[in-house]
Amino acid sequence: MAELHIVGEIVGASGFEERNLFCKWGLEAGSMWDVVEGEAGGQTHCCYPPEGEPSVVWSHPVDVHYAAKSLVGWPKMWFQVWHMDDHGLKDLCGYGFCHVPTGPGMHEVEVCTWCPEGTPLEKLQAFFVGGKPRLKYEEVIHSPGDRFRLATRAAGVIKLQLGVCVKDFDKYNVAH
Amino acid sequence: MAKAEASFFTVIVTGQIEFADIPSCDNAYCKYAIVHGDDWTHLDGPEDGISQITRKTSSGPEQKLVWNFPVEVTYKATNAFGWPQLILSVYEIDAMGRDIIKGYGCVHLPIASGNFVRTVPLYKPLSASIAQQFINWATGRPAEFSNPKFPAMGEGREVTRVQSTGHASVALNVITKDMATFGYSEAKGAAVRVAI
Repeated sequence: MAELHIVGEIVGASGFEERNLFCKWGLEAGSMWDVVEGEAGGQTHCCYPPEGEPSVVWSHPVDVHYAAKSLVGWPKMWFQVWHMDDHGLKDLCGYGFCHVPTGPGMHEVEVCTWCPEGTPLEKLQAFFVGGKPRLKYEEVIHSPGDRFRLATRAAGVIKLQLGVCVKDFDKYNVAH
Repeated sequence: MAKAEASFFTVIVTGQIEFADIPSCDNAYCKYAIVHGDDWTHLDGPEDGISQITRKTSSGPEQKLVWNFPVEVTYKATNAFGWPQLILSVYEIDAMGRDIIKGYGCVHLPIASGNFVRTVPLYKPLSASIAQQFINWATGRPAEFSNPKFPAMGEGREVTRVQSTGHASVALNVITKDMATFGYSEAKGAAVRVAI
């Protein structure tokens, strides 16, 4: 079986309106892909940046070993950025995904994120009592299906540093 | 004399911990440790070290804490999983001679051969409660990780709250040997600088 190693970090994020952010992340791959070792998902720590610092630091290590019987369903990473307020309540502030780079080597990836917009009433509600609209089906973050009629707005950017290493691709005549 | 089949591959890393940029810190030393997975064997060079205590000067390069501290380490492995990670911990010496944590940082060593300059973001843990915060303030000992290898682990971070403190710069040169004969891709990485 061909193998894939993803080694790197979820470095951090910038450009979010909110401060005190943490990130839930996961790797999603086709049915012919198996995680041999490593954690294919998790949650970062919550970063409280000092005053005047526009970005947050997660520095979350990623080290995953995949074995694949077919290349269909190349893995992708999804992210949910959450904000922790002063009372310890958490609220969503961004969804995003990226495919794992298909070329071996070191990659710097920036993931632009978005956030569901909600109706004016929902916005008013969120302003006073908190709780912004969230996705009911979280597959929408990364699946190529329809997003028609979903109103969203732009959120911040997540930075990743990913190293990709493949094994035995030559043996199966896969170009890399 | 390249062998057709290798039973392991070798990763040789040389480089240095160049400097750190921490606004609220005037003098500091840096401890480093390299951690790796089970299928890796350490061959040569120290896996941990402590730098000198450096001080910022107004004439120095842009008010940085310069260490220029060498890192030279060689590993052999049979599996790329558990690729080595470099953990930095920066401590300040306060007026009473105590070591105060100023930042932890962690990066994977580059997985491709080449020359890299990595900017490592540094962060320090926040106290778990207000009472703890007060005790830490009164005793002058801020919260530290009880396990110094914690920055290299992905599990159990949900309950950790941290504050970013600055960043360090690490220059790394990576040579890989026998990765192709072992079946792995051999990618060449360019110099990348991740700034955040």
